[in-house]
Amino acid sequence: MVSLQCSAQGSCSALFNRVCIVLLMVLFFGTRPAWAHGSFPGSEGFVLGLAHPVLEPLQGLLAGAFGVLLARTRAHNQVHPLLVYVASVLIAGVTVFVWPELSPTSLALLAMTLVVSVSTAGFKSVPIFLTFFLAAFSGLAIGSNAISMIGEGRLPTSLGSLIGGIVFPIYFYGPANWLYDRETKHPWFHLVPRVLAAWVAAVCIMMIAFVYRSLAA
Amino acid sequence: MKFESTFMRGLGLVFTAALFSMPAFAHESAAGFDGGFVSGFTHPLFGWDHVAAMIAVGIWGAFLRAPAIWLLPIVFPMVMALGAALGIAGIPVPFIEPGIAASSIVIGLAILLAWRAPIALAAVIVGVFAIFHGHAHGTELPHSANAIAYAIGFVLATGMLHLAGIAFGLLIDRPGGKIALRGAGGVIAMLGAGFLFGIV
Repeated sequence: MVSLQCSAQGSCSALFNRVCIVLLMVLFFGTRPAWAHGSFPGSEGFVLGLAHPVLEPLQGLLAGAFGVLLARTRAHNQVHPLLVYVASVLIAGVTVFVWPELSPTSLALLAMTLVVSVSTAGFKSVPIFLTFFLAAFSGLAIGSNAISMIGEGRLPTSLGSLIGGIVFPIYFYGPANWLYDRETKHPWFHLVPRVLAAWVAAVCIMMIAFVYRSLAA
Repeated sequence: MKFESTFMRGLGLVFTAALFSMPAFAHESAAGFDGGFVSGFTHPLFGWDHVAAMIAVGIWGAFLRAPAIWLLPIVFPMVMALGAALGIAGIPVPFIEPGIAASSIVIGLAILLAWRAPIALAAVIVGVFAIFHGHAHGTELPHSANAIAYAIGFVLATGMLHLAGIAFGLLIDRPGGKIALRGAGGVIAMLGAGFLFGIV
């Protein structure tokens, strides 16, 4: 049985590797062959929802930033913040599915990404309480942004989008954690995610200005 | 040093990849890259005053060593984006052009004179000048078709210029490297003076 508890000495990379492999197998075998040739305009439903973090850059930025932040949390057990994130995504998703008017604005997503990125860039090791706080709010922002507003096929698209929002941070957690695991041998490895997080924060600041300008125009 | 060799290998890979990236430009379109990423990426590269200052920040960071080597390239893009936001929002900042020229002069002289400024002071100096650079870029920004692609290109180009400066700055541990760096600082300071008096 797969253990959800990470070892006290090491990181959670082995657990996440296992989760990623299982998810990839489920997605691989669960995909109908014809979809392998579909382009984005042709894809629909669950698969379109899965690709939502890629198609919606603001959501992708936040999910990626959260993945890196999670890796920066040098707690013995990184699973708990991830569980908080997953629960927040699902709660927000269900809430917005029922009440679509609660969908967040671009500014809310950008502000959340900015806070997550600055925390990653600013802290050598992100405090656990801050990780829980950011996991909860990132999950709420991503979950509420993931819900499809189109009537036809709304449920499978939204479901795919929620799963995409949950899986997407893991792709960034993996490389970031790989770097942190090796920082004793290469001390500058931990700098790479911090510098990249600063760049993401800079992109967010500019995007907030762009959104502000478009709203004012 | 292991850091240098790994870093230089990585940088070599980036440059090699960049050389092979030319054909991809054939696919850019006004709604995607042309109106966004390429426009943002090339924007910081087309002003020599900006290029000189951003490379100088990287060299100075390497000159001051850790933590400045990574702290300055973190501070500069974030504060520059704040300056750009002020420019986009139409909030005026005085002495933009003299400020940009002064950044090359001050940081260039700091390298030339091998000034080991305290890290907090170095961050403040770099941050203040980043406001001028960001504001200048912000006011010149087009109403881009793809804002996020533009912003990513813009920040990426700025970061790459810092990395170029850091890569050059890593020569400090090589024989004659310190002299080369201080010489480069002198050249940057002279360029800054040229920008300030309109000679260059």
